[in-house]
Amino acid sequence: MVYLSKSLQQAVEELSKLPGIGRKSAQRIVFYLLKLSTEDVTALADALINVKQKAKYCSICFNITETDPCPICTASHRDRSVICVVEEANDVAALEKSGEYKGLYHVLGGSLSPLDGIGPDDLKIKELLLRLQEDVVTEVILANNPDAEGEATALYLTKLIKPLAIEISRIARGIPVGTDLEYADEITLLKAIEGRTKL
Amino acid sequence: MKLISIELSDFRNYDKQEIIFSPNKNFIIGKNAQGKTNLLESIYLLCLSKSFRTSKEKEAIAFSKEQFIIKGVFELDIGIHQKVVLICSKSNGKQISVNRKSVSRMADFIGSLPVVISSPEEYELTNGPPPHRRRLVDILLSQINKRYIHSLIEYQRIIKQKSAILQKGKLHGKINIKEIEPWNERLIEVGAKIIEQRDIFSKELSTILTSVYSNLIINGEKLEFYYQPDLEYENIDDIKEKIATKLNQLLKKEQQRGICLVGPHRDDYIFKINGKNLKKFGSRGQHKTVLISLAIAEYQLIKNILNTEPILLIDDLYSELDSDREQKITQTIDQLGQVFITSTVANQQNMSDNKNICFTVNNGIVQKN
Repeated sequence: MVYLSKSLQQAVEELSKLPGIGRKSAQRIVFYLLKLSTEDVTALADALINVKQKAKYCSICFNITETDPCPICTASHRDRSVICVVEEANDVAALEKSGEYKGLYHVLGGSLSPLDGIGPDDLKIKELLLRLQEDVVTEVILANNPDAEGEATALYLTKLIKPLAIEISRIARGIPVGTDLEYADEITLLKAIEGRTKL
Repeated sequence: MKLISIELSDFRNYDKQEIIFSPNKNFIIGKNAQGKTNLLESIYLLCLSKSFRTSKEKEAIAFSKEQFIIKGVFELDIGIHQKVVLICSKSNGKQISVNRKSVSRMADFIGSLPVVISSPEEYELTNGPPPHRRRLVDILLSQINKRYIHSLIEYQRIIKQKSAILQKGKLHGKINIKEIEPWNERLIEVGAKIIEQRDIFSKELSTILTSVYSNLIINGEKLEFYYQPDLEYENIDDIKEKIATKLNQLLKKEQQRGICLVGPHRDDYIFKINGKNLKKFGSRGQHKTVLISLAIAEYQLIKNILNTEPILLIDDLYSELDSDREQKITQTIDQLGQVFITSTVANQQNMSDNKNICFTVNNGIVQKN
């Protein structure tokens, strides 16, 4: 890319390190940014630096937060007897958007994957067990992803939580609402039929 | 389903080649090393997104080229045309699009264009170690059963993950049993599904295979195909328990050796002629006839289940067959749908039928006769 200036190349290089962004997209974004006013670009850069400096992990649930403990953990109106276990902080965001769930969360920070060297000690599992022993929790919902690693992690947690006499459930898999049956892929349909409920 | 035409660019010894096929029999005649098998491989790849010769498709990129492209037009049974393009490049790997829409999960694509191959390069199927036979059944079942392919993908992942724990344990001399437990539980759950499917379909395949084989021979030999699972069971309902018990028994050994010793990844299948193991007692001619019978049986199983005729590819049909068998096989194949047959010699009887097309391959160039 000798035809690009050095600063341009650097910007493309940095952007293409991001997930889901290849070199072409990176280049398009950089050229777009060049067209913006200096104020707009500064605002974007400031926002990125700001979030990096202020965001930290909640010391209770390990969600991303600016205040520790996080607003969810400190909210007085939330049901403290239920904890929903998720893999990543963006899963919390997804569940929160539904507005339906009123309990607390626990972010594991991934799933068990020996291939990538991720064992139980690399996830926030000990911290979860501590919460379960101390708090007034009566139910745990396991919202791990439905892939091989997520299922194994859910099983591992079940083994540990069972002796604590706490109710455990696993979120159901099925057809996305708003999708017609005919548009659901076969495996989603299969799982939905397997996990059917009695009426 | 029929393959109407194919277009190859920089695929193995093909530079640029466009071919329009017969919906019936296509004979591809040529001397050795001219590109006959390469042509079958391109069709197979286009239908299945995998090659029968290599797991590294990049090997098929022509010398000093960056990528190969295979384009094909299929006619589905309902009469509509479907354009499939497979691009494999050194830098971006393999991509498939169907009617210009790119396929994101190969598992969704496999089975949509069913295909069966019989090739001398598959001689290992009846003669070699178990992985060849597992691969055969896995590819067949993946094409006819969506549940199977997804179970298989998950199972392979579970085995990889469990092996990683065992290997790390072997290296450091200690292992946390609790870490293995969840993977073993998933192994039991998903492994049982795989064993059940293999059990059912091996029986179905065996029934068809016995009948196909008996039609190809004159001496009344009986060919059977058996599933030989790693775990012995009498009743398929007990299978989960059996896996769990064996996992417990071999737990120590698995840790010592650092590999997964229990589960359907260690299964095998066996061919028997008149009750005798083909692998040990079969003649070269018997092996060859079994391989062709197997391809025809797979063809029929797919046809029965998917209700469409798969594409049948037979590489080097006439080698190692006497004239009686050759004639019987020719008659049987004549009853099937679209078939691609390569051979070093032209068979006059077939070529005379004007529904069929005969091609000559010469150094990467295909010409219609």
